Amino acid sequence: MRLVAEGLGRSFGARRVLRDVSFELGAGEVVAICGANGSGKSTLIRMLAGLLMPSAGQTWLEIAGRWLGAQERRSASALAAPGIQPYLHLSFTENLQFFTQGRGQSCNAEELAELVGLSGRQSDLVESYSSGMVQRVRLALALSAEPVALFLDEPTQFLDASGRDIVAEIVRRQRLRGLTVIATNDEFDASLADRTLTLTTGRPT
Amino acid sequence: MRSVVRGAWAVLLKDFRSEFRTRYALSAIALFALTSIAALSFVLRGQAMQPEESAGLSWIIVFFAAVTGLARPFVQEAESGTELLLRQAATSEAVWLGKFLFSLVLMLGLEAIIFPVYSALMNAPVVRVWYLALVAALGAVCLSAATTLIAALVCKARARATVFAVAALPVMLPALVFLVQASGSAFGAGDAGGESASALRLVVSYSGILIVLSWLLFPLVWEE
Repeated sequence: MRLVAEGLGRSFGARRVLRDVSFELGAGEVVAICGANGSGKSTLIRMLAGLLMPSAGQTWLEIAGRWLGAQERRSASALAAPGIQPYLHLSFTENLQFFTQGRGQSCNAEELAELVGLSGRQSDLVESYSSGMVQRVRLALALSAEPVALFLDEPTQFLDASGRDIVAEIVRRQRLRGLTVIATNDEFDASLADRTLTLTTGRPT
Repeated sequence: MRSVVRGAWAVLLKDFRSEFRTRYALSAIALFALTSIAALSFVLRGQAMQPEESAGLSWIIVFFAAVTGLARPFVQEAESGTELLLRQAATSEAVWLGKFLFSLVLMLGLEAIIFPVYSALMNAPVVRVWYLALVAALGAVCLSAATTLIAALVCKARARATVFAVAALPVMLPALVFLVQASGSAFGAGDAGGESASALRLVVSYSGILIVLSWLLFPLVWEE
């Protein structure tokens, strides 16, 4: 299993956000992408998750010696990010059911609620949740897909101490299933990774 | 294909759950339609209209009601930040099909209310009910296919509601003209053959073109 990025770049209009990003990640590995605000971390992680087309370069995901096509790749990946909102008028369980049903998977909402610390609140509409609880929903949604490649953008944002422990547990479990990419500025998040890729004005340093 | 149907079902179910709880699209459409009919009935005071006029006015109300509410399913995804979750949950084909079916059911429900209320309040008796039902069903298919693609397009714009109304007009206008011609006979203008039947064929053809174009172009609009 390998995730490969080669010469990745992205521009928005005339503004170039990322350039020449290359790295490789294997099974069980965790990499942290760090950098100042606006350095292109979120853009890079969206490209790696197959949700944003690069303007330059390419990125591949290989499983069992086979490079995955765009559709397969998206099915094998999941991204949890602050810019991804769950449906506020649905409950925790309904959000998970929608997400996994759409991907042709099934999920154990109760087990996931327990893992992210939302036991007993699964039936409440997400609109009644605090920002920390919504962040836990994001993590549960990404985990429900049982992804080979897990992408976490600022995973501990809004979380308390117990929430941080949950993120550490998620990363530990993901090492057994596949690989993890974390985009962060937080020291705790970065400490969960084996190595760090630092972006400075859109370039790796 | 199975994954497309499964994904579309998930999107449809999710949209119905949300709509059932918020009633954003339904309220917008129903309020517009019923207010328009009530206002028109006061202005015309039960005056009898020509069948062609009855058909024209009814479809104008359906058209603007659709423009008012049918952008909601997509615009809401962009406004509430759920677009990326949807893109991870379903393929672009599944999203198109799910949203198209949602709009279609909404349109059919809307027409089932608008035409009887319109007929009763506007003194516009429907002489061929089943023929009107057929034209209305085809109209719903046509308008839903058009609005699904245009709503996905305007998601990327800033003033989404305004852009949607402006962008929808040229695409939906030919459909509106054909639908008015086709439904004239339902309100008593001539028989169901002749001009009315050829207009109906045009509605079917235009719907087909819109569905194919919408299906083919949607992935280009939806995927970044």
